[in-house]
Amino acid sequence: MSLQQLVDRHYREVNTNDYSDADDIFSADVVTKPPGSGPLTGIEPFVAYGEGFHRAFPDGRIHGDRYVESGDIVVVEGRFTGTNTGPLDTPAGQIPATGRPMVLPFADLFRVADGKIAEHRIYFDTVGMLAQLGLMQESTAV
Amino acid sequence: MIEARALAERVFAVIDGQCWADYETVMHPDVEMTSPFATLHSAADWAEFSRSFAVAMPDGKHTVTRVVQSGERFAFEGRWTGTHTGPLTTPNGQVPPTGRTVTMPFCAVGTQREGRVSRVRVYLDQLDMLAQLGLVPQPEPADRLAAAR
Repeated sequence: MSLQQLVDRHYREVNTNDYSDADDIFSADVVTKPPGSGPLTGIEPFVAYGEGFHRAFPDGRIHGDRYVESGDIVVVEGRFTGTNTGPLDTPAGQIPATGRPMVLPFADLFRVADGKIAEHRIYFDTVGMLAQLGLMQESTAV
Repeated sequence: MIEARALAERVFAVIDGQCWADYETVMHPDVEMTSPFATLHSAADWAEFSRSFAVAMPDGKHTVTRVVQSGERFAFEGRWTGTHTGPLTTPNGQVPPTGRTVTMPFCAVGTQREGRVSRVRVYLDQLDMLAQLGLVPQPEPADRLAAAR
């Protein structure tokens, strides 16, 4: 299976909120690094992170738009689209649903070892996300 | 086309070296650069953007940790580190130096043409940077935010 196919399997998990095949896709000690949080080790905290997004955006869909792949690494540029109809967990506490739609551009870096994802780094702009939800002004540095 | 690692070294040597006049040696004059901070459409605009950042954080440096290349497409993963020793210009006014050091992880994904960057999109978290500077506005309900405007 190519790296891209592996990633697309993972994106199907996100889009169906069904992580029952996570053991086939991720190493047991996979390290996930999302913005605004320290690294998460293991499949369980990673699934909890995905489910948190699903609670906040039950109609959320992840789209992999462009892939760059070499060696054991694939980088994906994509978008997460959804409507915030559920509570959103933030470091400052839980925020009630805003009802707003969101299109969040992101980059994912995956490192694959022994046919499974061993590392997953997630890059997106939390300011851009909160601004679309009307929770922060979109105006920061420079 | 050149090795993406060599391209990364050249690009960040020019940016971190504050070689404003050399931007077009590493990117096309009509380069498209998209980031959470700004969308830029030329090497000249990019140089101006970097110059304004360098006023706030003159020691700013990129460290590239991983490079991925597939034909003309590239991805650079790394971190940018700088110390806020000068005034930071924001749409809400100037922020005086905080003296704090910021480390900002980034992932830049783009395309090269004839050995120079033609298009790049930079992914990073502005909130992470603001938090490190002690400037984080906490998320708050939309009605309160609207009332404050």
